[in-house]
Amino acid sequence: MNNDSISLTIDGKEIHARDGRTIMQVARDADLSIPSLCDSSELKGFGSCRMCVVEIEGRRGTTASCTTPATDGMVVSTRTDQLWKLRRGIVELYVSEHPLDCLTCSANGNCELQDVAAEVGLREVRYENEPSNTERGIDSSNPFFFFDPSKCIVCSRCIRACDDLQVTHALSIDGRGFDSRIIAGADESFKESDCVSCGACVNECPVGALEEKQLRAAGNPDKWVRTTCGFCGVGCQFDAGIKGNQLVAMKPASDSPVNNGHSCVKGRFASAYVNHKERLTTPLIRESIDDEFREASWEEVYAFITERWKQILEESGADALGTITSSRSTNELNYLGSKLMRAVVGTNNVDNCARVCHSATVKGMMKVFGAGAGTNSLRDIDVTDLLLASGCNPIHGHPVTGSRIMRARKRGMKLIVADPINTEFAQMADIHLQLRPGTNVALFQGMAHIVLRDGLEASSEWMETRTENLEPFKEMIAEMTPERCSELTTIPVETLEAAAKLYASVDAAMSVHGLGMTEHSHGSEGVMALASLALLTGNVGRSGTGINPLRGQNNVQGSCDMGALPNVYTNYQSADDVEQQEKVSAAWGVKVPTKEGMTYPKMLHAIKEGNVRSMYMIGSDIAHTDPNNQFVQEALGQLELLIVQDIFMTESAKFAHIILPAATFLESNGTYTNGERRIQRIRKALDPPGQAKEDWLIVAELAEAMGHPIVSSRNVSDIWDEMAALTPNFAGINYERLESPEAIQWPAPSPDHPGTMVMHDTVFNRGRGHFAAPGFEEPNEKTSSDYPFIMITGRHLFHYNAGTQTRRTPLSEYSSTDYLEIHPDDATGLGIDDGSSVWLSSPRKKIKMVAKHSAELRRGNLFTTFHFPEIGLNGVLSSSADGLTGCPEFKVQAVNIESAK
Amino acid sequence: MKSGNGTEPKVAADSVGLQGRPLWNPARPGHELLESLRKEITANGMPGADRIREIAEEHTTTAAKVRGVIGYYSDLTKDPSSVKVCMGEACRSRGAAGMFDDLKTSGVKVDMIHCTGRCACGPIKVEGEPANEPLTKTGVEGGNTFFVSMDTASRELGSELLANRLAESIGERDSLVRTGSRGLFHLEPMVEVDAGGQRVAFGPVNEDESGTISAAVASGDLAKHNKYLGPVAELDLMISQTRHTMGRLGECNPTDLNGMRRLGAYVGLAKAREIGSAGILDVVEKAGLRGRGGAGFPAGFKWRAAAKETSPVKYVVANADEGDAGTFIDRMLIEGDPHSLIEGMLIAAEAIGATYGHVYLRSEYPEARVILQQAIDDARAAGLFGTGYDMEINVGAGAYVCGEETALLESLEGRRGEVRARPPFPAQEGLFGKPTIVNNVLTLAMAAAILREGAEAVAALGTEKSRGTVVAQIVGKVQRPVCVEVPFGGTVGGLLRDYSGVEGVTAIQVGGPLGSVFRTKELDEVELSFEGLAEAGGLLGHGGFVCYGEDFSPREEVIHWMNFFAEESCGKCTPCRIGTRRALEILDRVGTGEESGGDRDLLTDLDEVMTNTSLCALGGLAMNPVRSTMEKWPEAFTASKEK
Repeated sequence: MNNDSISLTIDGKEIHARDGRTIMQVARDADLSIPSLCDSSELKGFGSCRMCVVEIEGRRGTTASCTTPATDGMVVSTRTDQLWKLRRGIVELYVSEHPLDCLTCSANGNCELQDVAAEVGLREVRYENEPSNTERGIDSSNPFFFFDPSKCIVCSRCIRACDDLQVTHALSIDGRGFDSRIIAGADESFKESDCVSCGACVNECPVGALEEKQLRAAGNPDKWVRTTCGFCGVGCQFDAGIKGNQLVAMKPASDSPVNNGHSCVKGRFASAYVNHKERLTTPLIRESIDDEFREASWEEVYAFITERWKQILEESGADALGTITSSRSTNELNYLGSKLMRAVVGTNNVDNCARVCHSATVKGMMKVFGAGAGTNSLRDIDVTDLLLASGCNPIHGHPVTGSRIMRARKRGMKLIVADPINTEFAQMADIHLQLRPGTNVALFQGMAHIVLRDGLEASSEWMETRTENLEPFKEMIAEMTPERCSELTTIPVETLEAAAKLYASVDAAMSVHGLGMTEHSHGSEGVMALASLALLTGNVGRSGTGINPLRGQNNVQGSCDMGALPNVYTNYQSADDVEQQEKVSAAWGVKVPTKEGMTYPKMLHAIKEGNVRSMYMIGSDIAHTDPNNQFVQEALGQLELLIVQDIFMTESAKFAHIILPAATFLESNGTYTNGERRIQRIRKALDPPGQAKEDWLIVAELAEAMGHPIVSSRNVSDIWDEMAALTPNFAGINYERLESPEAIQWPAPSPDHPGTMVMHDTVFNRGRGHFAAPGFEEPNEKTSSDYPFIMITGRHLFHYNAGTQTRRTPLSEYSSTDYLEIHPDDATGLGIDDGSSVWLSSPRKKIKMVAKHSAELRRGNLFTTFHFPEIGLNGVLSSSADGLTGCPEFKVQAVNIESAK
Repeated sequence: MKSGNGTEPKVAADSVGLQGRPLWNPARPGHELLESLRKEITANGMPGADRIREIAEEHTTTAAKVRGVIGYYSDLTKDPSSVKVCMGEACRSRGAAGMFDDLKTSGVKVDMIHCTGRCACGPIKVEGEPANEPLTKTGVEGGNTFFVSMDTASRELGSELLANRLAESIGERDSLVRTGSRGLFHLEPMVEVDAGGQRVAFGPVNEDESGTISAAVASGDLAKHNKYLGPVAELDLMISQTRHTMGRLGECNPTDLNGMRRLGAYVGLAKAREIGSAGILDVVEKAGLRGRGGAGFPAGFKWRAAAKETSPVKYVVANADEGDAGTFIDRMLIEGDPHSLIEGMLIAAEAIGATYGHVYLRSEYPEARVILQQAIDDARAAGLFGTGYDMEINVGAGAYVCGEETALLESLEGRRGEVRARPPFPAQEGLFGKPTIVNNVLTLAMAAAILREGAEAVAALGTEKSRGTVVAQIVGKVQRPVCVEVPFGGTVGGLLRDYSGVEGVTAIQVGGPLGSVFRTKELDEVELSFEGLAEAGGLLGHGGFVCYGEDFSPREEVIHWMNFFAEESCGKCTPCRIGTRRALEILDRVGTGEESGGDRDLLTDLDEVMTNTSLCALGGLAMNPVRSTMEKWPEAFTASKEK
């Protein structure tokens, strides 16, 4: 109460409150209920239903409490007879326009109109009219929810949620006065409109006008279980609504600082795949990949694996085995995956699928800051002056963060977007740097050049006390003149100048980046150039600044943090370091291997060379998702024993000898770490189908079958504690602390450490920030007369990565194939019509796709997604990759496109 | 987008400058959207979904927002080609309903509009394009100068035809100057002549009499003409007025900047710039200037609040959405002395540190737009804006609520004109979230007059709480429809009798459609002031007095009012959105055989809910004329009447 600055009296009760809040908010916080229909804790006061009128001493008449600020000394009455009479009159008006079918309404029991009618004591509706909206039909076009206009009370909460939370502006009102009615888009169906199905409107609807189809069919859940979303790296918190053993609802948590009650279409509606009939439910086994699979018991598959593995170990040694763990699975799984390989098998051949997305981020940021993790927090977006977003389209890739950025944009935050594509996100920027693909290094060095030339860099005190290597950096940067930068990036000099000056002129500039920064042949260097620009302008270590990778999958951060990488243990403690080796050996009670491990692309090559004979692949599908996947498939096909652990029969599983049925995030316990280093719980809400088991448990049982138990109990919290004890930055974190809705952001070295919102605040992880000055080099992939186009690949809002999950949901109603996008002028020259068939070819493969004209592209570029394995897109791509990390060059691929008419 | 070339940086253009518009906000695309839609719909009819998407993209907004805006404004949803009959109270008191029915029966496509500001000469119907540019004639020095009003009400009464005929009959050396109206409509069309340094008038003049007037002027024997009225300044109805704000109306051409300056335009601004913000605030407060849009809120209070804000961008908005039927002084000022408004806005801008001005002008006043635009361009060119200020006109699109200041701001932001909850008040967070003062046209013009006349001179007039002058617009079934400016004080009855005559007037609605209705003699002792009317259970509003004759039909008018409110409700708050409709349904039954036993009680309860809980004055006052009429004419609501 010490920070409260005002005190007021509500219904005779003295209440202390923070200044700047409405009477309604103050009352709500004090658990005093004031009836309302249009107010919502997520939205700004609106003042439309007028149910919340109160009397204030010294003021005439009544005042709406939802829009009136509470002030010091105010004396408020909320429950006088006169107020109840007025409220009864308002509810009577509402009900005169409402169908009285409460018993069959799916909102029955969950209807705010019902609640207030009961609260005010409405017993009779004296108006003689018939409700006017009954003849308007239900819009059921959206795959996930209905809109029933006859039940709508026109409170505008749906519109406000769409405008102010999601920031899509897909809803409005048509008509006015009594004829006001909610519309989607240009008065279309929800499906045809701009609606992105985030569900915020449904969440807000106080009555049964907007209702989830699943809930409507299933009725109310029996229980709610708090968990973390299993899709992208934003890490939204949800309450999973469970009825029997079925998921019937995913309700975003309003008390989470990550999503604040918001969600995207995938998080809220696309978890239905957990109940999909194609789930793997029993272990499968076959001697040879030419055989058919047959069902087997867990004992049988464990015996099969241990027998083969022991044989390989004996014949070829531990390094003939390799494991790819999953950045979609838990920290505990990733820790145990690393431990299985290092402690049981005896090899450092463990890697995870973050290899193909943010490995370059880890490398680049490690070099400059000494930590491969996002420096700041999502809430910094709310306070920063400027956001520099590079190689990402959060509206599609990280929608909840995308909304957060758009909200910040509305409050006046400046936005610079570096992207070769003029995406809808780029279109809302102040400055769009539409660079040539593969020139990130040049771009950020060019900006640094302008900053230095104009003396816009941070203070000399900053340079002297917090940084190193400035002079060599200056020398290198001197070469990247605006003219040269412009020539390389094709961005006009004046645009570069404007961007550099804007970035350097604000108090706090923050950077977010996506795979458009990392998936390059010089991805690590691009991240170094970006991080060095932040260092140069002093934009690190403070609120509203920093370098913040937008992590693709839910646990990209955690899978790396857990040491499921060939060169490091937990939290990037070097596996080369003898001291570390000894520490880990002591903890695990076994001598850990000292020989350098292989990244998984290296393992694939080693398979070809006969050096790796068996692989264990947990929750990744590299036969589909990796570039040049013919090569991957050939390699997998060559293995003597491929074990695939997954929830569906994936493309990779088709090459497996053993398939292990795994549990989804809703069927598992453990933790995920989101892109802002926040470690959050997932909690088992459902039983896995059939014999499917949690990922970590399978690994633990396999280790036991190998004769070397790696867990002390069947509790995930014990696995966590064991890991944390080995890891100084996690030492202060335990499951008990993760119970709070904020969870905790690492580093938290001691139990009383509050966690870290902003890293590097007084000292960098590596001591001083290191200016990295790699020279600019052209991408590996270059156009030629045979392959004159550069193709960029990316993802789409309605699908998630390989699409394994999302293709098995109604999301496919929005998007059922991948399109090859081409600039209309290029298309015209080649006789390619919008929507026509085309051949896409590279030296590796030629595939048929459907072309789509898009003026958002640069001429000479193509764009496509890779969600549908039947298209075979990744077979066209080359194996070219970041020289420092092996992260594939997904974003620059030389190809040809021809009409297939 | 320039392909492969990067887009041009937008930041420099958008984030700075006088307008201070948001960098990116599809929910607030700006008023240009309404302009685009008006053009689009006039040219191509109602846009389909694909066209809506294109328009949305052009304005950096979304299809839903565009469609929502179209659906809100009657200008955008009504057939542009139909004949519009004014259903404002003044026109209704003079037979508009009959005119509407006649047109409809004759097969003409006809729609209703609510007030064109020509209340002095209804009933009004509007067909097609606005009137042609007024005819003028420039003579030579030494010739006679004739003056004929080009005010749209004057033109409705025949001044354009008169001017045309006059131009043919006056001498080659003579000039014909077009002016604003003096406001004595019973004398219009009027011809004035400069005679020996004073202006003399003839009126009302039939166009066929133009020859005799030019002859009389040529002969020098003016007084003998049967329409000769004498010197304008000595007319009974002029001499008794205190024309602080209306003083230049009718004197010279409205867009003759130099002429207007010779008559005192921009004198107040010069003083304002001398004394600065603090000085202006003091003067305005000392003069007791109260907003004339209806609520009578102290202007100085608003200005001071906005002046206190530190934002580098602030707005002054002139509310020229004069929607109350029976009031038209804003239109008269803009058409007759636009510089008085511009000057008032510049003074307000000086007082609060505003960087940009908007005049939100209703679409029913197209002629006013042309004149005001010319005046703005002239004032800017003459350097009167100084540095750091500019302004523009934004035309409404047919929505009565947009006269409410927050709905007006929403409309200026290119949104549906839904009323905002206050606080925050516009002075703190107004247009595009920036400090904004919204004042009615008359208020701003009065501010200019106050700066010119001095606070003391103004404060010396009127009553304790209603200081200075009031502009009364007295129309309907009266002998002399007028617009006059007199000091506050005295009685309403006296004002009406002195200026207009009230023989045969049975009912008077004061202060616009939301105002109360009085039996004529009830007003005899009511003080002419904000407080006087309030004490009598009414409101002064914008100073409109609509007088009904013997044919006043209480039941029909009550239904008309509620129908109007239901149609014009913005729909944001429930008491107004549903309440006006339910009230209309009940009123439709009350006094007929269909009345239910509980209808009166239900109406009383509904009145209480609407009056006490509505978001703005539309819902809050909607029962005002209904209640007062039902109380005073109970016999009209006895349950024996046929429906």
